[in-house]
Amino acid sequence: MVKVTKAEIKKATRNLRFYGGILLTWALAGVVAAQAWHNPLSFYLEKVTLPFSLLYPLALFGPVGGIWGGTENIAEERREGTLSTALLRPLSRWEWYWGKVGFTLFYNLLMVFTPLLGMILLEKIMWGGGLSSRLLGGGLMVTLYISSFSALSCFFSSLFYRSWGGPLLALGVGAFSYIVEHLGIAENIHGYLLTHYLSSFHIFFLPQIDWHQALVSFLVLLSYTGGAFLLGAFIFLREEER
Amino acid sequence: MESEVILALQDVGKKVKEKMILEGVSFEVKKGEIFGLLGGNGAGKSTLLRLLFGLVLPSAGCFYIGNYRCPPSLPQTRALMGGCLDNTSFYGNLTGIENITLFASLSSCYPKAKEIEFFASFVGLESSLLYKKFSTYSQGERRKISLLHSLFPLPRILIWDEPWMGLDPRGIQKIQELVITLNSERGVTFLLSSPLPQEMEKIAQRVAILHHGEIKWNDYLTPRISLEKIYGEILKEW
Repeated sequence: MVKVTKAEIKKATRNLRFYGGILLTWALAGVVAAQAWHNPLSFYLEKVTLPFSLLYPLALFGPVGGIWGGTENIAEERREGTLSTALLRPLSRWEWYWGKVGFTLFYNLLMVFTPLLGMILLEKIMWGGGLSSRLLGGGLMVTLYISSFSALSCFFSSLFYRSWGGPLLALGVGAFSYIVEHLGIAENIHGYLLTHYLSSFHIFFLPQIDWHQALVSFLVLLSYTGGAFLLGAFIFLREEER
Repeated sequence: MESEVILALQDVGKKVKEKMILEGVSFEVKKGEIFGLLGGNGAGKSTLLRLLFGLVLPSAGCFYIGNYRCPPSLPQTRALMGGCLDNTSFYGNLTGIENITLFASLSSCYPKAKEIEFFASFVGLESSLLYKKFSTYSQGERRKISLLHSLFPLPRILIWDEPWMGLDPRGIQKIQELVITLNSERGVTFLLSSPLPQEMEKIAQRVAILHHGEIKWNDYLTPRISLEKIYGEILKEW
């Protein structure tokens, strides 16, 4: 599994598309930094930290990068025919799949934490401050939120074999849960909807952290991520490479 | 004394959407042998070879690779084999040498550039070409990279599906020389498929003719046997 993840990192660093998701999150960080530079007083007076300001746009737009990563996992490899080439090697399908999942999670961590570290550094330069456990918690929550989209995309790519199925259906799940919640219908299922946890990182920045709510958010997002990746794995294991 | 069997198929069948692609396919490949699988387009050669790597599963029968029974296809069996199939593809944005080292690393093999360059000359590939992006290669160059990648690490059995597809006569000759060298000097067992009896005749020691998913003929080649004639008769008869 580690072999696959390592090979994936090596391959990705030579692929311009790899930098797409990271550039997207850095662009968001650039916007936040420009705002703070332009009007530092409002940031300072409202006691809003720069890294915290970045987490919401990351959670809002990050799933696009996450979905792309999940689709690249299987559908792209199939389309290019490189999946069959990899499976000529002494790897089990299980090992290959989880190696790719490992890379996806690593990529999502990079997408969230590299601009976040940049923001922490900028804030240190502007007002002092540094890395806190709250920031780490918030960052991990956003990473898990993005990863749930990656997992859905990966699952749908396994299910529908072709590359369009994964991203479209993962976006569809996101759009469906957003619409249901904002129309205020079927309120009893809101707690299970994915986009309900868009701002769950916020819990870590309240004066008193609500640990119960943090745990619930974590478990729901983990269920989405783990469940979709697992289902994708079982479908992938039973498939043939035509 | 009979040589050790390294690959054996027993009544292997494959059905795709109610259509039998392979039916009751049985044959054995002995250690150190160059075994040819001859058949026209749609005979089922590629499906059969994909099946040996576990890319598709048999609908009936089973096969043995070394001491392992398949299915299930095991990583251990693929550690014994190297392959180049009809649709073996690589990452277009990586160079030939990057693709080879990347896929070799999945077999825990980390060849040096010099080693790859050395073997490249045996498949008729100039070493400077190894440093070009895969997407810029011609069909023949792609084929050579596919063949070259299967040599890292050098396995006990090499399974090549139509190895001379897209190659010029000089390229075909180079590959045939490589097969003979690896077989005689390194003891590598070969399972080669091709629709061309005249090319197969030049290197294979034993040939099975696959037609409409069934083995119609399987025997050792001798100077008295004309494979082209036998194949022609099978095509006429069926």
